[in-house]
Amino acid sequence: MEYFTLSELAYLIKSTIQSTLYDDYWVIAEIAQVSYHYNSGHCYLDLVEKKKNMTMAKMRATIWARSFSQISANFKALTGQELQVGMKILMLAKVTYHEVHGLSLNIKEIDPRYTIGEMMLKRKEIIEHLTKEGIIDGNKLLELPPVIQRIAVISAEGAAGYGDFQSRLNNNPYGYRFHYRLFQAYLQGEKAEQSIITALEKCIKHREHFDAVVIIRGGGSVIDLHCFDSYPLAKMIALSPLPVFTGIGHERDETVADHVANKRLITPTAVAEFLITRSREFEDSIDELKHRLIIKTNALIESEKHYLRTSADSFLTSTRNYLKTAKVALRENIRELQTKALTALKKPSVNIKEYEGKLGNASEGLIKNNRQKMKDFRKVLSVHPVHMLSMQTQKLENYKITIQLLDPQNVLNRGYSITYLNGKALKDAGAAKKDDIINTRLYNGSIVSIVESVREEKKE
Amino acid sequence: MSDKKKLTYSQAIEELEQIINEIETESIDVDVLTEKVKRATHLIKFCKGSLKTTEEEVKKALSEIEEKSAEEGLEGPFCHPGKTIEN
Repeated sequence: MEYFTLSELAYLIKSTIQSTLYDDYWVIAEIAQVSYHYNSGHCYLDLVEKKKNMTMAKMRATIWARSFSQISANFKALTGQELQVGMKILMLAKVTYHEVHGLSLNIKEIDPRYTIGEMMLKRKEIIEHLTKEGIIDGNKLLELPPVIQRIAVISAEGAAGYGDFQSRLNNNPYGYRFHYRLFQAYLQGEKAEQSIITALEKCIKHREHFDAVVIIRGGGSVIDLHCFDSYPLAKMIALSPLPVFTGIGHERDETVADHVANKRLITPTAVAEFLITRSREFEDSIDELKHRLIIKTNALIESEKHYLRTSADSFLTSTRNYLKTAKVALRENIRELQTKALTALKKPSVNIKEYEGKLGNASEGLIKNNRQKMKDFRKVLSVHPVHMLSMQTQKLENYKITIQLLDPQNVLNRGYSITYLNGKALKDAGAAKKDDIINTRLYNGSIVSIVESVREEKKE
Repeated sequence: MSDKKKLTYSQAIEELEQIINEIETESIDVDVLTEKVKRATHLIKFCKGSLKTTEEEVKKALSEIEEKSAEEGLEGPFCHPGKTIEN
C-alpha cells in the first residue's frame, strides 16, 4: 500500500496550488475577525462569506507588514475607516499553503472603492427604508427648546471625547450650568450597536428629565462607524421624543445615525459648543429684549413727562394769556366806567346849574311878586284904615252880644241850675249813685246835697 | 419661586416678547407699565438665573435615575465602566 507522510501530502498540496492557483485573484469577502500584531507589523484576518447567517466559506488571510502600512493608509484615506469586522472588502489575493499553518490568502491589495460602495449601499438602503416608513425626519422635526440644559449623554466613561465634552461644557466662558448624565455604551466593536440602542432606550424612558440626547465619541486611531449604520438604531433615533445630537468624531462620512439625528456635529467638543452657543443666543435675545424694554420704558416715561411738562407749560401760558386778556378787559372796563361816571357826573352838574338859574329866576320872580303884593297891601292898608276899623268894631260888638247870651250866669239867671259831682257837671243821672255828694250851682249861691235815689231816664 | 419649576425658557421668552411688544406698540397704559416692567424683570431674572445656577431639583432627578439604574441591575457595559473601550 502506497502512502504519504503528512509532510509529503502537504508538499503535494502546496505544489498543486502553486502550479494551478499561481495567479493573483480579486476576491470579495467579509471580515469576520481582524488582528494586528504590533511586534511583527503583520495583520491577520478571518474572511467569511455569509448567506442569510449561514457561513458559505471561511478562510484565513494575512497582510504582511511590508504591504500592510501602505494598504491600510490607502484604505483609511479613502473610506475614512480602518479595516474592521463586518466590513466587506475587495482584495487582490494569492492563495498560499504552508505545511504547518495551512491554507491562507496573502492579501496584496485592497480596493477601498468597493467597501465604500458597500457602505453607501447599506446606508442608502436603511435611509430608503426609513423614508418609506415616513419617519426619516422624525427627530429633525422636533422643536428644540431655546435652551438645552439637561442632557443625556451616550458615551463611554473615560472616553477622550466625553472628557472633552464635559470640560467644554463645565468651563464655558459664560458661566452657564449644564446638567448631564452619562448613559454608558460601547461605541465600537460587536456589542456597540446593541449597547447604544439600550442606552438610548433608557434616555427615552427618562425623557422628562432631559432636553436632548447626545451620542458622542472621540475620534481615536481606530474608527468604527459600523454601529452607526444600523437600521434599528436609526429607527430609534428617528422616533425618539428627545432630540438627538451626534458627535462621533468623523468628518467625512455621514452615518445613518448622523443622517436621522436632529443635528449632526463632528466632534463632542462641537456638540458642547453648539449647546453653549444656543444658550448664548438665548441670553443674547434676553439681553436684546431687556435692552428694548429699558429703552422703550424710558422713552414712554420720558414722553409722559414731556406731555406733563407741555401740558403744564401750555396751562401756564394759557392761564397767563387769560389773565392778561382779563386784565386788559378789566382796565378797559375801569376806563369805561370812569368815562361813564364822569359823563354821568357832568350831566347832573349841568342840570344843577340849570336849576340854579331857574331857581334864581323863580325866586327873583317870587320875591318881586311878593314885593308887589306887599306894596298892594300897603296901598290897601293906607287907603282903608278907618273903614276897616269901624267894621272890626261892629264885628266885635256882635261877638260881645253873642257871648253874653251864652254866659251860664245868664242861663242861671233864668232859673236853670248846674249840678256838679266831684267838680264835674252832671249830665246823666246814671253817673250818680246813692249817698254821692252833689253840688248844685244856682244863679245866686249853691246847694250841697246827698243823693237819696237815682232815677234814670233813657234818652235817645 | 413657585413658577420656577413650571416656567420654561420658551414660555418665559414668549411672555417677555409679548410684554415688550405691548410696550413698544404703546398699547399699554402707563398705569400698568410698572406692573408689566416688574413682570418682565422677573422673567429676565428667571432666564438669566436658570442659565447660570445649579438647579438642585435637576441634580436630584438625575441622581435618582442613577439609583434606579443600579437597582435595575444593568447588564453589559453599564455595570462595568472599567471595561469600557477607550476610543
